Amino acid sequence: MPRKAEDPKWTDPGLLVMGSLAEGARHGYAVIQDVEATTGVRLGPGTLYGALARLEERGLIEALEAEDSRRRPYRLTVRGREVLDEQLEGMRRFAAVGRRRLAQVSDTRWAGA
Amino acid sequence: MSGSRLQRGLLLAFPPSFRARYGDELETLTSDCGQGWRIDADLARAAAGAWLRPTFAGPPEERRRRRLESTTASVFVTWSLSCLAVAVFTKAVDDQPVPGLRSWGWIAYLIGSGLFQVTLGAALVVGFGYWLRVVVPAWRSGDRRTLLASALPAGIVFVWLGATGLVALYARHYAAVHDHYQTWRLPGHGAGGVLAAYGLLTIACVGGCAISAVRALQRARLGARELRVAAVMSAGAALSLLVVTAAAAVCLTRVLDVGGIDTRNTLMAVIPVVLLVLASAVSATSSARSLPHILSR
Repeated sequence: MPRKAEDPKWTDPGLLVMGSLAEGARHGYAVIQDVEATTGVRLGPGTLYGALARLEERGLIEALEAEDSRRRPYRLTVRGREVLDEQLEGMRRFAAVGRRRLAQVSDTRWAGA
Repeated sequence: MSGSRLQRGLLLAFPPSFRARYGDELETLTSDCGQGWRIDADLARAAAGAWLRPTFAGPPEERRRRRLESTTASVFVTWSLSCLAVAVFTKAVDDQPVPGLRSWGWIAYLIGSGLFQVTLGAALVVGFGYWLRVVVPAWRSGDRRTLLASALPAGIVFVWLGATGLVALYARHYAAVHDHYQTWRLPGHGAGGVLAAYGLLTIACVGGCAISAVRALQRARLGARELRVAAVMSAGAALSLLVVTAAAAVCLTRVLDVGGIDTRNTLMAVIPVVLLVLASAVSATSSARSLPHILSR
C-alpha cells in the first residue's frame, strides 16, 4: 500500500543517517544512496547536512580526515553507537508490540466472522 | 563551480558558521545530486532551519564561544532592524495627533519609546566599549584586516551622522523659506525627494552597519568569557525588545480602535509592529538558547 504524506513517519533524517553510518564511515553522497536503497527515502543535500551538523554537535558522529576535504567521510562515535542501539531497541519493542496487537485484532475478527 | 545560479544563492543563504564548516562539502554534494526544484526547495528549507536552529561543531569550549557569539550577533542585527521599525512606527503615530489615543494607548507608547531610547543608549555605550576592545589590540599588533573590519561600521555611522546633519540644515532652510515646518510634508518642492533619499540611506546604513559589525565581531574572535558578558547584555536587550514590541502592539491596537490615522499611516504603523514581533521572536529565541552557556562558568 502506498504511504500517504499525512501518515506518521519513523524517517527522522538523523536516525536514517546514523543507521547508514552503523555499517562504517561514509561521505554524504554515499549516505544518500544507502538510505534510499534501504528505506526508499531520498534525503536532499540540505536535509542531510542539517542532520550531520546536529549529530556532530551532539557528539554522535565525527568527521574523518580525507584527501578530498570536499568529500569528508563521517562515522559513528561510541556514544553514537549507544544512542542508535537504544533507538533501534525501542523501535524493535514498539514494532513487536504493534504487530502482536494487530495479529490479535485480526484473529478475533476472523473468529467472529 | 557547477550548479544553477539559484543553487549558488541558496548555498550562500546558510549562516556563515555553517558555511565555514560544511559549505564546501554541501556545495560538492549539491552538484553531485544534480538540479531541480526539489533540490532547491530542500536547500531553502535547510538554510532557513540552519538560521532558526544554528548548530556549532568543534570542541565544547569552541561550541560555547560560537553559541555566545551567535546570540550577540543575532540580537545586534535584530536591534538594528528594530531601530528602523521603531522610527517608522513613531513617525506614523506621533507625527499627527491621534484623537482618543490618550490614556493607556498613550502610556504604552511612552513606556515603549522611553525603554527603547534607554536601551539604545546603553547599547551604544556598550557597543563602543566592545569596539575599543577589538580595535586597540588590533592597532597594537598591526592587524590590518581586523582594523579594516572594525573601521567599516564606524565609517558607516559617521556617513549617516553627516547625512543627518545635512538633512537637518536643509530642513531648517526649507522651514525658513516656506515659513512653516508643516510644508515639509508637501510634495513637489524637492523635500519629498530629499526625505526619500535620506530614508533609503538610513536603511542602507543600518543594514551595512549591522552586517559589518557582526563581521568585525567574528574576525576579532573574542574569548568565551568576554562573549558571555556580551551575551548577558544581549539577553537584556532582547528582553527590552519584547517589552517595546508589546508596548507598540498595545499602542497600535488603540490607534486602530480610534481610527485616528489615515490608511497610509496605518500601514506605516502596522508593518513596523509585524517586524518588531519577528525581531523580538528571533532575539528572544537566540538568547534563550544561549542561556545554559551564560549560566555555566
